[in-house]
Amino acid sequence: MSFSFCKQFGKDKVIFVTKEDHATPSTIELPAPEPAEGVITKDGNINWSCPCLGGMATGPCGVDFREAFSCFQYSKAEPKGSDCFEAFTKMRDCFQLYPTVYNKANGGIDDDDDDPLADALPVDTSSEVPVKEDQPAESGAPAPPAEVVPSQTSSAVEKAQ
Amino acid sequence: MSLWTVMYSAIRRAHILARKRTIVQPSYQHAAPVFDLQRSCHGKLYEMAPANSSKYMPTAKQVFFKSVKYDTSTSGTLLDWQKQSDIDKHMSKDPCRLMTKEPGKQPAEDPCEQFKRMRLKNDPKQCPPSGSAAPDGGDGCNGKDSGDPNKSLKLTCLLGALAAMVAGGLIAWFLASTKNDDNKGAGGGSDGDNNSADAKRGVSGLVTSPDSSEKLPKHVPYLIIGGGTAAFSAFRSIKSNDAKAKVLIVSNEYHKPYMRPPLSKELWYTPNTNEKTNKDYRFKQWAGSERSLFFEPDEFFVDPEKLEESVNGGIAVAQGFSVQKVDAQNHTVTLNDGYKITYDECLIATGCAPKNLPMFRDAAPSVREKVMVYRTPDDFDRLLRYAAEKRSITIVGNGFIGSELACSLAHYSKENDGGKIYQVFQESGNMSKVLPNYLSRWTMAKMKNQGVCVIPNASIKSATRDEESLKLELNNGMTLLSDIVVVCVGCSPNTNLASPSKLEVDRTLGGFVVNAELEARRNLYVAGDASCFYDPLLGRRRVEHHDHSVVSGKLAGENMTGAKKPYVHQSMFWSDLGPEIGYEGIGLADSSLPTVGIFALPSATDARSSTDNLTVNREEDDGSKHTIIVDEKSNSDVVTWDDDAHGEQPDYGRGVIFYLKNEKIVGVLMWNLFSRVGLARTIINQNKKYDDLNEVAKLFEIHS
Repeated sequence: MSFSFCKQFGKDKVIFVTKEDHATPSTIELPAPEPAEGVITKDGNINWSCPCLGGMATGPCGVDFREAFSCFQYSKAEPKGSDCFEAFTKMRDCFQLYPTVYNKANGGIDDDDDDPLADALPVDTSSEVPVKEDQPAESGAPAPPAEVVPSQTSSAVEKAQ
Repeated sequence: MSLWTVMYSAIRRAHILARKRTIVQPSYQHAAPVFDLQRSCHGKLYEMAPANSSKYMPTAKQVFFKSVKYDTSTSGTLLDWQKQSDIDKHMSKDPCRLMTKEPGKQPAEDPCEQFKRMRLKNDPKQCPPSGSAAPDGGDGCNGKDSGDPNKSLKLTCLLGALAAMVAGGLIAWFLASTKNDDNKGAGGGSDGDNNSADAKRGVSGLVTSPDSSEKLPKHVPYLIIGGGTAAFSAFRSIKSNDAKAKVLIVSNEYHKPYMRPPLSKELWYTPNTNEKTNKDYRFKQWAGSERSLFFEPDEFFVDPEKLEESVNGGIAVAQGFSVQKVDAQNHTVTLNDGYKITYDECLIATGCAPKNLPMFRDAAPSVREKVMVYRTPDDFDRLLRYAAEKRSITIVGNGFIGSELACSLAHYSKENDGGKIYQVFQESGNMSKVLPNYLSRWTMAKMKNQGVCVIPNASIKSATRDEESLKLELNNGMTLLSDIVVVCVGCSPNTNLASPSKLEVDRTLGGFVVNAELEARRNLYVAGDASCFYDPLLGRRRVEHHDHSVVSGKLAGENMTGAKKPYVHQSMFWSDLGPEIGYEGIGLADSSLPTVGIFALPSATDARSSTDNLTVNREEDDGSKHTIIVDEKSNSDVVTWDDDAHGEQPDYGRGVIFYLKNEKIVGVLMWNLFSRVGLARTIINQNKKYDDLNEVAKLFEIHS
């Protein structure tokens, strides 16, 4: 047996509520959150301010990174990105000049070992044939699985600046 | 080497890097590493992005990844997501129920007990055998401080100012020998703490970088005054919008840009930390991964002398230089030594300087050397040495830094069998500027449980120095012996350059007055602590929080590259006070406003034997589902509960507090609730009156 109740301390009001009290959905309706803008904006441009780039666009190899990333993103070649050899080589060469920034940088604990890509990326590259890219313009946010969808605590508005 | 080999290696590196610093996180993290127990916790806080933002934003990894569809990659991506959702599911099953302390760690006795007996002697201390004769004859145990350059320097400085001045002068002369103008030496901090600071820097080998201002460029497209969080955030933003931007930071600090929040929090929970083992100030984040206090390693930065010729631009930091004035009309910044730099766009991000109390400022040198403020990594080093020597530490002030530091030090002391930690302040509870009174006092009780000897309603009447420590007489008749006093009574914005630059300073809030675009004058912006900006929603404000520095720095950076955006994204703040209290807030979380707090009550089905008076009240009632208003007058004991009578307190374990102005929600505090800042921001942005705040509270899912 439980129910909510209030206390009033001068100007400060306190309400204690049970889980059951809050079991019914709220009557408040908030505007639908804007979809989060990812690294690719709605109109297909690259959002270099995206925090998901982890500062790569601002680092000492930022310009090379941008060139490689843009080349890849806008590549119409078959397979996609195959015309970006030069840009990627340049980016890689630059990365090698700054090992503390681009290798162990700030993280440290995340290493190749636990990189899911290590499993996903083919080891023997010669046998791999890149599949044709069927969506030239990435739509930005890949839909996360249903379980991961945030509730109404929309993180999307966080980006609204 | 085939194309794909190169691509793979490059992409892989990119992925690894992106992964390291991305925001993609499950909403509940794994066990908090900091404390020995689990609770849901803050999201990643130290990314240069609005905290909590874009959890589900695609990362560079995903984009590269999705784009290059190899046979196995699709499943890889799915697997990745799957793993994450598993974590989510798993964690949401037992989110906050584990918020109990380890029984063994519960301090059995009142931490103030000893103090109440007017403790007259300190914990036994030993002088290390290597202790050499220090210039200060008064301190018999002074040898143990001989490893402390700052301190021994201060002694030198204060007792034998001559020597220090000569040394400082010599170095200054060295430095200035190539300059036209009279250089005050290394630094001269904008906080105006000059001679000793200069001498200190000179003597302890802190020299400016580059060694002369003449080596700085004469013109830079982007000039940032100050080298803190707002400055670095602005740089990120500028460089994102202007790929080849050349940015020069002029900082009076001797560190590369770093973040401050961990100085009072996480760093104290890093085991076996000390200056030598932890030069980069590495710490473990709530989210589990480790990182440095520094935003980026040294390699990230361009040498200021090479900035002009760099093809791709970058960021250079001139360390140890102070700015005297900004001439907005002529786009010119003048350094303290008279050197002039012209700019296209300039940002003032000078931050603020911690306040001291007049009674300590005017005290005898022997007292002053045992009093410190707390803001920098050097302050952390110094305090850590005291803590490591098991000294007793007194913190003055009840705000964010004071309260966090008290908790962190108490934890450190408990782990290392250290000295006592006192916290003295005039108010009746911790965090009283933010938390409503009932919660402020509840928090204080929790902090006492953690071993902090909190002494509220008290101020220090006098401080005298005996052989080893400070004797503090409080106005409530108590006397306190302490080895070091840390003054945490807020800070004041560094606006010294306002008057020579003819810039307006806000009379009540302090800080440079700027408009909603953070603009003081054309092409001159102010961000961070020193910015008194116009918030179109909540009015004129000045905010001293890490996330505000990130947000305002980012906005200023965008506007410096031509965005012309107003301040619309509310910054957030967070704090942790030991293992049982963590909170996040947004908007005007000002305890002088009327508040409505909605807290979770364990439901009947919960197997939790809550025996607080609320339960009793409930049982006395007829069981109807009505809401009872317990009036303050009719139940005054609720208001005046004894701090130590834990059994009689309501449990403010988890909930949400709304701060109201004209009946609209202008601030939200999420008490032990995390990952809900976005929701709170949306609600504040509605700028609406809500008839039933309980309905609003439902959105916060305070029971889940």
